[in-house]
Amino acid sequence: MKIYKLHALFLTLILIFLTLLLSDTLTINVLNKIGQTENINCFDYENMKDYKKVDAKKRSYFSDQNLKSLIFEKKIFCIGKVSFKNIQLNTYNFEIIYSRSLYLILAQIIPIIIFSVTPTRLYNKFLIFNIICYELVVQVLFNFRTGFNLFNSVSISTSLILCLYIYEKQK
Amino acid sequence: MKNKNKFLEILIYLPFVFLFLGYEYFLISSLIFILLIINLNFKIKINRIVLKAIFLIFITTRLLSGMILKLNTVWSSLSQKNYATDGRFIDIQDIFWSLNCNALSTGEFIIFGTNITINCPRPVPYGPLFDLIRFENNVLYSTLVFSTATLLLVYFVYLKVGKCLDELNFYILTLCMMSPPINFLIERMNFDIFIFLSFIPVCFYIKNNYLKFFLILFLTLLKIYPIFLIIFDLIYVVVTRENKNLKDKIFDAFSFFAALIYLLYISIGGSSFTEILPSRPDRTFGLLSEAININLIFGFNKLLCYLFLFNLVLLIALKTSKDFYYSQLFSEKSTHSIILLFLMFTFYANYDYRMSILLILFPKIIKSKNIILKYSYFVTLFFSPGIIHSYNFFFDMVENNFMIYLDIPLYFLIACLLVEYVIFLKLNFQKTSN
Repeated sequence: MKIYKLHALFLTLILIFLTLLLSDTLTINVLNKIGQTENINCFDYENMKDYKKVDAKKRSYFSDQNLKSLIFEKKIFCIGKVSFKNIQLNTYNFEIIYSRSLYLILAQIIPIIIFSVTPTRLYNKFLIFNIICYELVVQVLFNFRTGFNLFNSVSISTSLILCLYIYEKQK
Repeated sequence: MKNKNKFLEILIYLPFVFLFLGYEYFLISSLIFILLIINLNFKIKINRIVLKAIFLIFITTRLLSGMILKLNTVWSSLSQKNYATDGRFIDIQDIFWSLNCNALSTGEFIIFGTNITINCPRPVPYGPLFDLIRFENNVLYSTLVFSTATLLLVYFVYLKVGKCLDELNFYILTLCMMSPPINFLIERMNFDIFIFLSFIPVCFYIKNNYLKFFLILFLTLLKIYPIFLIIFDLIYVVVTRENKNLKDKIFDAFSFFAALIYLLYISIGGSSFTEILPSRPDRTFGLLSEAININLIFGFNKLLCYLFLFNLVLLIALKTSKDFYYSQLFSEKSTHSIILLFLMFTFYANYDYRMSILLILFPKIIKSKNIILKYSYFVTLFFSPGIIHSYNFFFDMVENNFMIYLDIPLYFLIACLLVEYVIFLKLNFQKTSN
């Protein structure tokens, strides 16, 4: 693998994720309670920030999507979207469309596999830069809209150890 | 240049400021400073007395907030959100209550700091000795006496280890003494703290094999895992062909079989220790706990998940083995057995506080010239438990343990230690074949 191919790979991945991030106008098909297909606009999901000013306790629950529903029902475009569910005992409850499996694959398994197959001679500062950008974009995609920490264990520990390793070997 | 150094000499205390403001900031800033010290050749003066005072303040604050319920905010601010609880030193409270139950058989106790009530009988899921001890005690006083004594012992060990280190390494040691696994261990006051403190004299100072064996056996009766030290010691003797007389060889064989029989008895006897498999991703470590988590989200067979993770570690080990700097970590019997015990933990499922055993290796690791090993050691230490996703900035996340992730820095550490061990074995086999 040549170095420009590696950069191109990272750049493509970053672009795909950025597209997903800006995909608010896309629609998805979901099954409603009576089993009919319904067309939902991702933009219809309310943003968490709208509720920021509400003076009440806010709690969120996850709606974990498996890989199959993400791909076939195109729910991948709605990752991280928060929707208001109900109010119980003066507590606002929200539901977040999320996918633990996709998060694990994108944030950790893909970087570690790319790192493992990249020959040591291709290690340079641009690769470090690519890893940081890639990890940041994945974190933004999964955690920004939900108001979670962008700098969590997944993003920092993984990219930090990979970058430190590459930096040291390149030295 | 002088001004720059002066600025750094002040800036280097920044993590300690964060320590009392918000533990998560301490974690990140400490790691940044440690990595900078490893990479750049700092020539600055650090006052040892100030560092000693800071650590003393830290443990005193922990102890005082543990005793006085009004200091609940201080107690919580010293902990990470992953494991923070209002209960004070809850693991040791639980043990003392169980000992009470052995003596009284009935009774009810409210865990200090919480509203949780526990009743008798309450067996301790540790070694068999706890089932035999009948000790009628005031749980609160016993907890406070044990916690105070243990924290004083921790401080004594810190001073003793710190004596042999230069200023910068002493600074790193101070940060590590307040790192997440140690803090978690102190907050819970799990009995592991006593076991790990006992490992220091048992493995490093006691040279008499018979005394060492009986002390390990005693620790094994309190918690099961120290028994593996006997097995790992024997592996060291076999690998290095340590010169011994016939009497010692017979004793080694006896201790090995005694350990095996004990393990067999524990596994067949249905001890609860084999059933406890902690797997909450935000506060556990180990390939098994991560395999359980992957099984949860993908639905693959647990064994397959485990093999996948094991292969990932091997892949990293292959990668790191190129231009590997051998640090002779396994050359001494004591460190050999401790590292193997740590590796054993990493292949199983454990709570993050058990990572504190890594601190015993600190003097060896800090002197090593293998930078990758150092990086993985410190990043692992400061991310176990790590930073979780939500801190109530916008809202509470009901399931903070929902996020499943792999402990990649730990995999690098395991990989480095495995490569180190393979080199150690190779060198010893070459030596004996010559």
